[in-house]
Amino acid sequence: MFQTILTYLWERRTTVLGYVVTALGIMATSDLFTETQIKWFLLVNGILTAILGHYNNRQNPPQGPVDRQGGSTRVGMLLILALVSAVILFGCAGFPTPRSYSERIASAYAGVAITNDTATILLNADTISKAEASQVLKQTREAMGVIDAARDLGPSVGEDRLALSLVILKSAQDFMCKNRPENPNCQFLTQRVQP
Amino acid sequence: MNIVDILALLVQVTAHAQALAQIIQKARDEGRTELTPEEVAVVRKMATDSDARLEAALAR
Repeated sequence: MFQTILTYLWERRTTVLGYVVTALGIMATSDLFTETQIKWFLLVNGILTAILGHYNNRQNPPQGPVDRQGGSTRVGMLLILALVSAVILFGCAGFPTPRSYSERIASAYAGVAITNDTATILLNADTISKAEASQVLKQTREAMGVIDAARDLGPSVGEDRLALSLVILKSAQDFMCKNRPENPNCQFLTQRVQP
Repeated sequence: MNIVDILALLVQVTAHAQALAQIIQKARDEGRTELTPEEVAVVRKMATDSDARLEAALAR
């Protein structure tokens, strides 16, 4: 009996996957899962779909003349696209909205990390000069010092310091990206992780 | 700017965002509204590590 059900489901695997994804999607949009669980679910779903598509193509090759080399290339491209999509999906998730004081302190530190790493990559790509990168580093270090002070002062008296650190951080991002609004790294930085 | 650079940034940014998201989510799952000093220190280390990477790139 159980084997019959499994066989029935396997023979209709693509349809079953579609129904499962739809059901989980409805549950996900009903706040039954956490944000992290939804992201993992989307990642696993993408990989499963790619594997299933690959398997189906092997079991039922396309009719007519088949370019095996081209087929392999297409599968490879699909896998690369799936991986890139997964990376972009996770990247676009951005930061969770910080609520408490310590969460905002941690988010400010993470903003410093992303600003520094963006500057590193732009510098390595010769998109910004060493002088510009040095200026960004100087500002992020200043922001770090102010965030440290805000962390040590605590929520009752540290709010002003935390606000100041975000102003400094935004200034560093604006300095790096003001003349490069079309640069994808700057677009990502300014759209997703502005303090 | 090529696709490798863009992907490198995405991966790096993703790592930071995921680390922060996991720390915050774990605290919330445990019913805490505030992060512990140790959890904040983990995120702070991400910032100091990125500082070192940028400094190294400037030194090259």
